Amino acid sequence: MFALVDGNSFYASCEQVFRPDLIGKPIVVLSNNDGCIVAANQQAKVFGKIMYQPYFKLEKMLKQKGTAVFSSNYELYGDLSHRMHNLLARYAVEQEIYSIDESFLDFSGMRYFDFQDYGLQIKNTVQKQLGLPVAVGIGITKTLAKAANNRAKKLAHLDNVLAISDLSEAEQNQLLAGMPVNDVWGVGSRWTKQLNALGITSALQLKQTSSTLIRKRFGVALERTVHELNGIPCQSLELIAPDKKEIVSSRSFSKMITDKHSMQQAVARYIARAAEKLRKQKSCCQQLSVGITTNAFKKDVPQYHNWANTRLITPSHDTGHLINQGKQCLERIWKEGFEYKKAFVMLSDISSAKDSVQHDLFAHERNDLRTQKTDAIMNVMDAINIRMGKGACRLASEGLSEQTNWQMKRHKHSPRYTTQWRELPVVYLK
Amino acid sequence: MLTIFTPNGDVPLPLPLVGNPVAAGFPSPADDYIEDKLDLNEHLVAHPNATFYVRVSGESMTQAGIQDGDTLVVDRSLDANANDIVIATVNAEFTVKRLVYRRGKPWLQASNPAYPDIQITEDMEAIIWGVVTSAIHQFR
Repeated sequence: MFALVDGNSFYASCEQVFRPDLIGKPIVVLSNNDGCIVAANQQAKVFGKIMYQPYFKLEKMLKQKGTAVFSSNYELYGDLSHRMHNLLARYAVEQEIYSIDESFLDFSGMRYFDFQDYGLQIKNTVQKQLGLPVAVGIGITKTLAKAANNRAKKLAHLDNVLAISDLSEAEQNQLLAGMPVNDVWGVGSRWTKQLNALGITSALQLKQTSSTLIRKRFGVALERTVHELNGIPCQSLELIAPDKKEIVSSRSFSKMITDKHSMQQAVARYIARAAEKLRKQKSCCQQLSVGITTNAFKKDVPQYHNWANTRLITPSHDTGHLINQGKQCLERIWKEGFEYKKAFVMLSDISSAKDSVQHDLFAHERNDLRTQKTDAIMNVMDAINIRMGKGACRLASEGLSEQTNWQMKRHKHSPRYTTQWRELPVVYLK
Repeated sequence: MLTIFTPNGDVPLPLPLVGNPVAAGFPSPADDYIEDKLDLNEHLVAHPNATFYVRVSGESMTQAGIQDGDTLVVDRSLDANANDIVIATVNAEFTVKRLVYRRGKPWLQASNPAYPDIQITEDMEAIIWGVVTSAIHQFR
């Protein structure tokens, strides 16, 4: 037996935890640079199609309706997400953290159990202890748990909890009949079109299609989905998140960059973030790519985009070394006279830091000795940044001023209530 | 894989730290008694996932030992009992009061005579947000 528990309008709900004045009011959260709407609570969703729409188009309407608007506060969402997953872990033998606001739980071995009631307990606990609304779907396979979660949220009378496995076959089928096939876990938009062409539009129809036919037309992945809809488990939990094969750091600038110095700073900062992640998973990389691009949406200005790639002689996770290499990449692709909107950095060919390393025959210094020295420096830098906040200790090439003019816009940022002492919620005693 | 070791006097050689590094002489008699350090988190926070910190501004709870500027430790996993100090939301605002029952009816009681008590009534939007388990008062 599996459960899928996820947060309802998670980012918007997080914003409301420390703002009792926002209970029952519409809330939206914006993407990086305050560009698009990436989360909206139920009260805001009734305004029509607003998800993933550019904010500037809807700003006036949202204001008129008294909507609370926030920039993404990743510190807050990350902390509350962490707490939520920890609370959920207590309810099952195993847990797979599927995304920032979704956990699969494995209820293996728990039999003769009122799962509907158990789901309700889970929902109420997270609501009481964190103030976050969640939906709980329980089924005999992961796909059915996902489907139950979808129905629990969509059908108001279920009130966000559904143990579909507690129902009779006929009742289960009735629920799946009302579920569009594109809401089935793993069915993307391309397959939806092809399935619809075959007359398969609901989850029930997919469940009742011959798995052999599905395998022939769509392959084993969708065949598995059909089995899982029929209650035959094909997937267990993925308990160990695989290390990332590549690490990408890419963001749009809040203001166009036109000078090389600013671009060097931006690239250095992105490399520093990526290298930090690399060290966190105890890896090294041997391949580094840097790309820059103008704003493709502004047709009236000259367009240019390019990227360069370099292979390091020995794998590294040393921020200083990677920034030097990145600068050389940028040197190769930089062109004056353009307005750049975005840069990306990718670290790839990633291996474990412990793996044996081929030494560089022509290096001045034996690289295992150099590595020892830089490792010590990187350890100190990471430790400082964990304690004092991101970027507190950095290389000069990343830029010295706290706020550079190209950095992300987060104008409507709420306080980091749970991760910064200076930003704790304040209670006024009257 | 073949690894060649060459002696190199310039490089610091990290060794595991042994309890008492003095080779000669007697080992410290305290070596056997070393325990973990005291951790204030352990002392103040019973349920870390459900615990939040909140800063106080105002004087209405001074007689309960809560001063202006204190940091409160709030445990949301606890059920509020009579006489607990709680964070409640009353009419869409946070407040800190003592939860008391008078003739079976719940009241939010201030701990300073200059401030009024609030009776929780049916028609009122009042929610107990969490139970205050400690107040941290820093002198400097």
